[in-house]
Amino acid sequence: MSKNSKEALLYIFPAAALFLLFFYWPLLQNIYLSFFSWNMVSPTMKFVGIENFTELLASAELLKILLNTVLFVAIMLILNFVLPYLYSFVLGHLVHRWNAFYRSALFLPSTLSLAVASILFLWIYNPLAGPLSIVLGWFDMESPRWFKESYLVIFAICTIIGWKVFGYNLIIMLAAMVAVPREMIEAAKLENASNWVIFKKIILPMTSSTAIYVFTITVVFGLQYVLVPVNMLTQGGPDQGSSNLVYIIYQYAFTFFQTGKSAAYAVITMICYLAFLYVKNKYLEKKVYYEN
Amino acid sequence: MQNSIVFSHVNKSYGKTAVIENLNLEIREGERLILLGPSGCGKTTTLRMIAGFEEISGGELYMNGKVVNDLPPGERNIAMVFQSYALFPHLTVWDNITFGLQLQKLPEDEIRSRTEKALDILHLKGYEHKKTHELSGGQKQRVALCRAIVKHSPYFLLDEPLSNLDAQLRQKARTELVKLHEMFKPTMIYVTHDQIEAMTVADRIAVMNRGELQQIDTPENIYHHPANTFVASFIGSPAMNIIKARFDNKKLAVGKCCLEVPEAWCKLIGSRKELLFGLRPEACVPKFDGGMLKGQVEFMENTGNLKTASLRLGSGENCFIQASDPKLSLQSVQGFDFDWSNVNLFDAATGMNIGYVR
Amino acid sequence: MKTDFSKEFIWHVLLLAAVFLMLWPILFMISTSFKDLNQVFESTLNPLPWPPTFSNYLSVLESFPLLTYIWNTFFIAAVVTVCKAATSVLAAFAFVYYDFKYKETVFNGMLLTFFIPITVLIMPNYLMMAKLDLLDTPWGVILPCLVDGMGVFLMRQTMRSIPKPLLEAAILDGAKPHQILWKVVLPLIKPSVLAVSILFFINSWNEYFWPLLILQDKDNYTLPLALQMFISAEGGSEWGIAMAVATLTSLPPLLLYCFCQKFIINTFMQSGVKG
Repeated sequence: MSKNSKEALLYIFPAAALFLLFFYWPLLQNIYLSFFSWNMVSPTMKFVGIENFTELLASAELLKILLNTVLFVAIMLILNFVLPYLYSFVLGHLVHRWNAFYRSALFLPSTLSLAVASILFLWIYNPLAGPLSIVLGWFDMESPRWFKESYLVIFAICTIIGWKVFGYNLIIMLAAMVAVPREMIEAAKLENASNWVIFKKIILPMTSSTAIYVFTITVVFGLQYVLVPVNMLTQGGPDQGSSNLVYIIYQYAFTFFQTGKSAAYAVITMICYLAFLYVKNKYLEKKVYYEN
Repeated sequence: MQNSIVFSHVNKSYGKTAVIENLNLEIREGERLILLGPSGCGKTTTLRMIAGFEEISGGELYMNGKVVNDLPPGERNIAMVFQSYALFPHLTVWDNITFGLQLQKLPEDEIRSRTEKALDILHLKGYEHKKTHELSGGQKQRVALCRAIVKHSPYFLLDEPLSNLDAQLRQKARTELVKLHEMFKPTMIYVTHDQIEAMTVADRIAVMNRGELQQIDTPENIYHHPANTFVASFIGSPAMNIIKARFDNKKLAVGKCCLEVPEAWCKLIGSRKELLFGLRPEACVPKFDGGMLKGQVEFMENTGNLKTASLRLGSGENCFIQASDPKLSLQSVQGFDFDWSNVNLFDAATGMNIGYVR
Repeated sequence: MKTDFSKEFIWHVLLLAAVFLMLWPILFMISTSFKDLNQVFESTLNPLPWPPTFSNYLSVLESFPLLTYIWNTFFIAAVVTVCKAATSVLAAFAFVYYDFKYKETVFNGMLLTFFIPITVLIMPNYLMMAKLDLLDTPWGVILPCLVDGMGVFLMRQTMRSIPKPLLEAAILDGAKPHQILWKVVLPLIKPSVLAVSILFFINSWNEYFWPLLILQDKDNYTLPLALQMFISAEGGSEWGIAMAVATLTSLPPLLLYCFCQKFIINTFMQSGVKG
């Protein structure tokens, strides 16, 4: 390993400069903008101190947004964390045929654009003539207006994300599953351990580091993925019923043209994210067994 | 017989590739049986069939007199030591050892007393609360043994349990293993590719090659009376010398030398013509002038306690001779003598031992 | 073998159900794109429309600058892919080959960007692009997407797996760092670079949100943006055409996936093996 740090700088510079310019500078910029009232076009910005924050924290909207965010996260954790976890165990240790087929087929949707997924599900969920309404019709049920009812809209959007992300998370979990040595499972089987006991007592602790990673990206990316269907299908509606901490930043900037509020939300969201990552590192990672 | 294991015409194949062919094998209660063979010979597969990890494609496997082909591993009451030890890295030594007992829901004091005793036997007292990655290789191996013996199960399977230890530890572990077995006397099946391990640990050795059982016998007989040329050349280092020979008119032509064959052997050979002449290197008595078989020294090795020389016979074949006398120099050896009681003769066509004169 | 299968039967049922849920929408998308207006509404669930019609594709070709969209999407994805791969490899090389102050901090700083939600960045970046007069140009889309935290991480992982003696042998032979990178490291990690590039390409091809902000003129649209145009008429009757565009948009990732499936899956599997 060379100690010539000037040379090292040369290799690192392109990436570092771009990261600073397009990731870290905007973060600072947000903090700066959050103290101003501005509409993006007018030549003057008015300094308002922490007014953006106080208004925002006092609004009923924030509560709704937070509630929506929690709901989004909870549903996505079930669809994109719990389910792939269980399925990866089944695929990694319980079936011994067609594994490659299952893997490829389940992963397929992950390669498609969320824009495609959104338009596809808009049609599938179409309450009048969409395929789901026909299937519901067989059971004498009337299709609800999936994207127009509050709460239901969150569920519908989560299923789109679920469809797209399930396979990706499954594959990542599967990598951890197959890394558990076969002999350990066999040692447990000799003791007449049931599949559930094997999952709980061996798989769960031994795959926990990857599980926490998947848990993290499910929360962190899930809210980003949600942007696409929300923006394409509902624009945050009905009545902000599908907006969330991540989408509202966009709304304030590009729909309501209130950069100050948008930046204030960005700062709050960033604080929430950092808090999440901090808590995760502090409490979750401690309970984890690492191979090395 | 109780707690015996019997393979009856057992086959195992993956798709079209046969791994085990027509295996017939009886493992007696309380014995130490070693499955020995080169890698890929099917010994591990055989062990894993006993454990129930490998499906049996044909034939029957009996344990304790009952067919167990479809019995799941957990219901066979088997203790096993894996090659990698398969210790759970997230559990302490204590939890690893008691893993199975807790699943069985044994009473707490029963678990405690069994485990304390096992820890004592294997000198693991004081390590109970360590995680397995804090242990040395030898300690891990002992924890794996410990986990196996607390189960008090009548069958004890070991899959190359010493292969991850260094040479010195291996010898110590070997004797400990035998002591441990004497203490509990389970039916023990032990897989290895190391012949020294096999010779020292076994009551009986089953030598396997290419999915077929070659010979099952005591270490003594395996060494001195190999059933065929494979066993002869697999056991011993250097292996048994196997030299082409031709029998004609009570004379045996070996490596351009002509040997008078004793009467008893002639009867045994009968009408066979083409034979293989087998002789262990240490059964060759070096001669500095002549000898029953003659040859020239090609190279020599000295391992301190033993001296080995490779002789080139008149036929061009090589033959190892060994001497343990430290003063003897093999430099000028001209040939060697041997005793006919040490000879093995194999049929050249089948490779099978033709029998013995006792 | 039979007993083996019956033991696993329940798991196969579960897996097949999941496979059905995953694949059916894709099949549905493709089959609908070959249905005419009547078939769309009358045989909605029929996966094999008969006779299939190409009218949707033809009308897409007629009424939209489809080739322009394809080119726009491809151009952005290609530039982004090449640059991301280059910056990732260079940075990773510095992290693996050199020892310098604050190395861990710098690396963590890069990895952390992976977790920053995009909306936090879009307004300041949008303002920056406006200042640079890059709005409504492909370069405005490309510029903030030239680095990737995950890319740096993956490349560093791969480079770490190169046996040290190989690098040491090259140093003994008097190779300069850039020669080591070019002649020793790159040839060894070529498969990983390729796999990560495929990943970058698919992601960039599929990107919707950032281009949506930057590109305003319809002629500059990328394919995912073009899809948006079919949504305004909700409950409308353009489903066949919408599905045709969706199918076309999905085609490159699907083809790439079909041909390099093992490769892509392995890369994704690696990306999860994280300390």
